[in-house]
Amino acid sequence: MSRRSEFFRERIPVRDETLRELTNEPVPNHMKRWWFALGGTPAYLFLVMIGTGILLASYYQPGPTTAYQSVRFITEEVAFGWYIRSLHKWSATFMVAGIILHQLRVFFTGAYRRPRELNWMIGMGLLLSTLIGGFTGYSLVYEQLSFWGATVASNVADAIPFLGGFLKKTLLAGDSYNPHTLSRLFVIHAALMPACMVALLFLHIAMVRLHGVSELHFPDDTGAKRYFPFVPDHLFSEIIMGLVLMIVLSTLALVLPASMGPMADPLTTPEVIKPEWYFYVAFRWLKLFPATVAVLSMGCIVFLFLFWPFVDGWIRRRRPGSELSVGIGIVAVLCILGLTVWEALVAH
Amino acid sequence: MASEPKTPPIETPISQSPDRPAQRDEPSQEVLSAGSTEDPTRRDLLSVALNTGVVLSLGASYGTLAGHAVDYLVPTHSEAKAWLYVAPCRGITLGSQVKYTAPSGAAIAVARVAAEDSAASFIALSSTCPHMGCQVLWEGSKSRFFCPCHNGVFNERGEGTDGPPKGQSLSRYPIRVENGLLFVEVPLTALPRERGHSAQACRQPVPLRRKAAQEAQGAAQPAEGLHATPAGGRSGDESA
Repeated sequence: MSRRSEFFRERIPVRDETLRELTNEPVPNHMKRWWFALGGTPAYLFLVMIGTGILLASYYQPGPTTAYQSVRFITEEVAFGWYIRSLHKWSATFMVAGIILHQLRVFFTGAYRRPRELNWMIGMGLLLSTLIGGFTGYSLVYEQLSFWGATVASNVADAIPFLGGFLKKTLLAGDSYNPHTLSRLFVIHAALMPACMVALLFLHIAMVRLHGVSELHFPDDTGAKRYFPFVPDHLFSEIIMGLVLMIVLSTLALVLPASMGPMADPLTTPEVIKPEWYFYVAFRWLKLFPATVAVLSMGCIVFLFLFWPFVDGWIRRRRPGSELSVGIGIVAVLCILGLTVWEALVAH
Repeated sequence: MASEPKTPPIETPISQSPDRPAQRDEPSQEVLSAGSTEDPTRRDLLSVALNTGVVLSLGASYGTLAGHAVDYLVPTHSEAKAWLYVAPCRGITLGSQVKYTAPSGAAIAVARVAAEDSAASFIALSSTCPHMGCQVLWEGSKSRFFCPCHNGVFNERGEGTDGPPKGQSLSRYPIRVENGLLFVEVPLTALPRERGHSAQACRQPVPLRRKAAQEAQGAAQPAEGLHATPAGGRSGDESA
């Protein structure tokens, strides 16, 4: 054994067998199909966002007098600033899409069922953290969408019974949008949400390791070996997926770079205002019902999906073999798609 | 040098040590006997009391810290405000409203809801819809505020009566009447805008009472720089 190996072995007392066991989880064969490996995509994009986010934060200046100009400086003056910002923006979009697709796969294959209920809830936490990160992200630019988005969000928070006023005041750092609001949103975006997501990701992956990946069987899986090693096989798959994603993100950054809308005007509501596409469903919902009803019903729906594994377990205990969850899932997906398309197609 | 390097024996983790697991998994006889008695011993009671005390103390101290953190995050200071003159009371007739632009740039609808010249006879409402933040319009013929974005309707007191904002209200500004003159308490600070005129206006909150007093004696024109204008003109549209 070389001196160097001896040096590290003494200071990191982990045996080779333990290390092999930690890194070489047997991966079920069905994960050779890429759509079953969507969990790694948001994780990779999260790393891209951390990297590009650190670079953006080195020039960004939160504050109503400085934010817009600093974003403009990043986009127009800094070398490759437009590219870094576009990568950040498109990574966010793809991350939301990746998490939703991953969640759909988990839902419709029933991979959330006992004993993996808690991991579904952790995944929901990751989705919500990502959405909050997305909202606070585009609020930082201080363009019209940023200002009115934050204004609408604070009004939504205000509509929550009992806690609403407190939440609004905490979110805006005051009774209304004020010079401290952007600092508050920046802290949520760049510190609080990433910290939450790192913790939740750690728990999510740890739970996957503890329970193992839920196994699916396909008719064409006829080989004697049911598993393949994580290192190097699956790791290589993830690296290839990461490279493909970087190509796609870079292409989008070139073709559709992150642009800048007009600077925020607190006295002029734009005639047509839309949030990012992943909030279309909530935006439409808010137009259909009074604020309190809309907010409470949305809260109930999120709460229901958070605890869905237990609701599904209860249904299946009463009606063994029931696949009611699949039907409910299809209806939910159609509703979400319908509301999103509706919001996309109409001005108001 | 061919001498053998002297390395200390490698410490293995407790779980991997051949003799440790037995110690960990098998509780000592002393622990078993203490826990196996039916009546709690004095040591048990002391232990429970001590543990409870430690937990409560930790909860109280960290809870206090968390309370301070919440106080820190929820601002207690309020934004700078001032009482500013709007118009003489007689300038606003029953069923009409005037649009007043505060130094911060905030658009305020001031309406008369009763015949007397008292503060209770007027109402000053923010023209920003609490639903999605659009600007509402005053419809004098129907005595209502209407939000064109999502068909929100507010009554003359700014209470949401139909559409998505039902149950919410337009923000109100405090009103004062002195010597037949109407004053409203408005914020002075403004956020920057691209066009920037509101920021200039808010730098100079004008000593308005003096001007208003002069105006009460003579001319009934709104003081310069106040931007108090009837919505759509007195001869126009919004009067009932």
